[in-house]
Amino acid sequence: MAQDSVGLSSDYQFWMQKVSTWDQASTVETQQDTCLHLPRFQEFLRQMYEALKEMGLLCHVLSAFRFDIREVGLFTQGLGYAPADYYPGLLKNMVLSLVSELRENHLNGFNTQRRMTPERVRALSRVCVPLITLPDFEPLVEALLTCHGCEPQEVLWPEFFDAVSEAFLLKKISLPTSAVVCLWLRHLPSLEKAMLHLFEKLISSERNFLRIERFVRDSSLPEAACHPAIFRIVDETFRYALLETDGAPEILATIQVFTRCFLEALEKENKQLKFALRTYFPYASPSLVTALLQHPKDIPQGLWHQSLQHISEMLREIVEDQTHGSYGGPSDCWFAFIHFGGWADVAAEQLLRSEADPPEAVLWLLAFSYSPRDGSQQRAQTMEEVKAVLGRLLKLLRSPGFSARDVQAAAGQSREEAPRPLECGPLIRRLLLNFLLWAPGAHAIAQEVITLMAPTREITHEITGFLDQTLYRWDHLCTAAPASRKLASELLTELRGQV
Amino acid sequence: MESLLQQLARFSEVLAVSRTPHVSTWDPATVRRALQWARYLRHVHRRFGRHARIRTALERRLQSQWRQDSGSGPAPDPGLTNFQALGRCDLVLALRLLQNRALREAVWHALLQQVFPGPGVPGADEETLQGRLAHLARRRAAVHVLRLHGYQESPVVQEDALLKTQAELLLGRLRERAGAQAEGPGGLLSGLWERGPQDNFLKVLAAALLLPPPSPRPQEEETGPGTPNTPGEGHHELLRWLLGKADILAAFCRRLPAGVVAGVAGRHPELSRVYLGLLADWGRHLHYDLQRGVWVGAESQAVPWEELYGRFQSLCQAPPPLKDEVRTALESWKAQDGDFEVPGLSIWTDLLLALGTGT
Repeated sequence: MAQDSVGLSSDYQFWMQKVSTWDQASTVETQQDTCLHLPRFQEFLRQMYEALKEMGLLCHVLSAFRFDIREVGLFTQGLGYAPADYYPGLLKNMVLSLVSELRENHLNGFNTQRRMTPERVRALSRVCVPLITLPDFEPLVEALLTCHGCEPQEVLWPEFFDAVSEAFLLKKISLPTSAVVCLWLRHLPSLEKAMLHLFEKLISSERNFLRIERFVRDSSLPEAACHPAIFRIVDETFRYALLETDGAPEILATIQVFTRCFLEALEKENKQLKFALRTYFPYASPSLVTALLQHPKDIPQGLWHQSLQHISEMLREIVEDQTHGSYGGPSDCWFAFIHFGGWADVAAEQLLRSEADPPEAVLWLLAFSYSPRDGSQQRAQTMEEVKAVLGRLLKLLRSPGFSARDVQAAAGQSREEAPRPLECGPLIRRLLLNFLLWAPGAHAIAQEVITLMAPTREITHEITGFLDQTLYRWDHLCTAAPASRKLASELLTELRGQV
Repeated sequence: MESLLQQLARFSEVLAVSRTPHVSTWDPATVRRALQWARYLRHVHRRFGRHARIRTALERRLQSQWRQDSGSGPAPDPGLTNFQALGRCDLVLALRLLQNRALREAVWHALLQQVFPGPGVPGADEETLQGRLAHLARRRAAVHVLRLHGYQESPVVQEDALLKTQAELLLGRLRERAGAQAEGPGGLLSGLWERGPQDNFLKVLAAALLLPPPSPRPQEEETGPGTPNTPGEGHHELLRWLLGKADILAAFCRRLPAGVVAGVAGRHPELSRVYLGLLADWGRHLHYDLQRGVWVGAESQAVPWEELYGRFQSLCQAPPPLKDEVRTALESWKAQDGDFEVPGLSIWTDLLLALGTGT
């Protein structure tokens, strides 16, 4: 313990010397030296500030130790107790008593005899602000959030919400879901901050489904979103983020993870009052949402194509319907669709794993999921292209052996030209990758093909994202063949190592 | 073992001295040694916490030591009073020294450096002396802040936080004593009464007697004095002592509000009998003033009619069997007096008339 103060004081000597050197000369060298040392100096100043603040505060508070509650002090002294012995218990009992008063207030909201006047509740919430990170206060904070009387206006002190929100996001206080829901419903900025906090964490780390899942679960958003108002706000925020980033894969991934966690939380909810699906997805028809909600793992693999057909038909009907019906248009139903990313992945896989002619419905679905805004002519063209590539790839499968160049040709590049990087859209790339993972003879050349496919960082990024997502999905569905899984895992490690 | 006990005794002396002006003779080395010693004893607490035999032996020695010290003098020195206290002895020592003006300035600075070395490893803060002092300071500040803004005294004594805490501590001590097979709580309780303030003591007694009955709970090693205790046999000890002290009992029944005494009487039948006896006695000391048409007392400290009525009213509002016992008693006293129905002849008649037929 003493070493820390020694450390700080030797640092102090060091910095005093440094500062006086900087002060005396102003050559290029000293300017460079200053720039180099600035961050460390800042850190040192911060440490000094913390140390002084703590000591100053402590001395100040300790000197106030004289102001004890006289009767309690005398009594406990007579029992042989010191303040250190009874203050924790006293605080606990005070909090307990206030919490039960607040609960009573909540239950007998219309009883004018209650002792907890709105002014007192307000004063209490104000008092909590500097003490919010004291663990003993957690029950009080929870009670203030969840127990409300019958006043139409907000009774709690505004800074109270800010303080709780910040402490909660920084994990300095832990609150049950019911309290968090109340916080976010009563104070919208707190919910906004929670979402921003999540985005910040997502941006600052590499796209990794496991990590995304951890961040999303940590945020308490899935559980809170069981309340439709919160779900709608979160969903709209995601939608805007998607629009602003032109459909960034990271946002898509987050939406999918969030939706999955949300559905899990919804299932666990034992509330009598269960909201209809359309409260959460008002922009999509209930039959579409019900179809999308089905998790592939709940349906036998042999019947997946049926579900795909069904979903595709419903989407197509909405998209091609000029009158737009009573629900949203193409962009709305696409947005609903991408919540449940599993089906697009299943579609891509199914196309490659069946020998038969690719069903048009599945082709349409895949084309739609990658380019929702295409006109019908453009989409038809894409479907033709995909069909052609599929045909060539399946032919390769039937041949005794094939090389990376063969694959390149199958993707649509002419053979005669000099070897150059493979140019194709993300949809074709996805098909190629699926092919590499599933085709028995492809393991040997997989790395080579990928090298051909990925000349830019964006594409490498896209491929690592795809591999990560595939592994994540396989682990949840338990459908991976061991060899495929091993290959995907190796490729992913290789690519990540390159970046 | 013997050496450990000796060290305990000597550290207790150091702890006692730390509050006195004698510390003006201390130098930084003394402070350092004292704190080290406290750390060592804290380590003993951790080490032997689960060692029933050693723990009991230490507990006994500490309790007997404290009883010896507290027997004489106006205020006992709350030093090491039980095994639990060993876990906090460095905190207690540090606080005493920090508040002791008699320390020389150089020694005071050395103390500050020892106790507040500054920011260390984050996360380890909780366990360091500095961290625990900071935590205590925060909690103390919290209590005072709550008292000023938001906390209100509760009329229900066993729910009022201050009274409830004191009651829990009292019962905890009594239970400890019972566990250590020491002699009865008489000395402790009488000491508290004599030292006062008496009104507070009476309220705490009531709160202690009204705390909910114990729920079966596995014995926990680390229940500190500050955590809510189950009343246990403390109730019996307390009641027995109170019933044996006629003057304190009278004060209890007289000075506490009617509702509170009624509550305690409802929970403890032995007390209800004594209470009724007192009420009868107080009632008989009143006589009827014909001119004013009221019952008055001869001396100034006689219980006035209003109060008597109020107390009986509370008792009649208590749940059965107390309510019925009170009615029965009133009826029988009225009968003894001559069973008059006319007011002004027997106070019991008048009381029954005032109380009405109410069930």
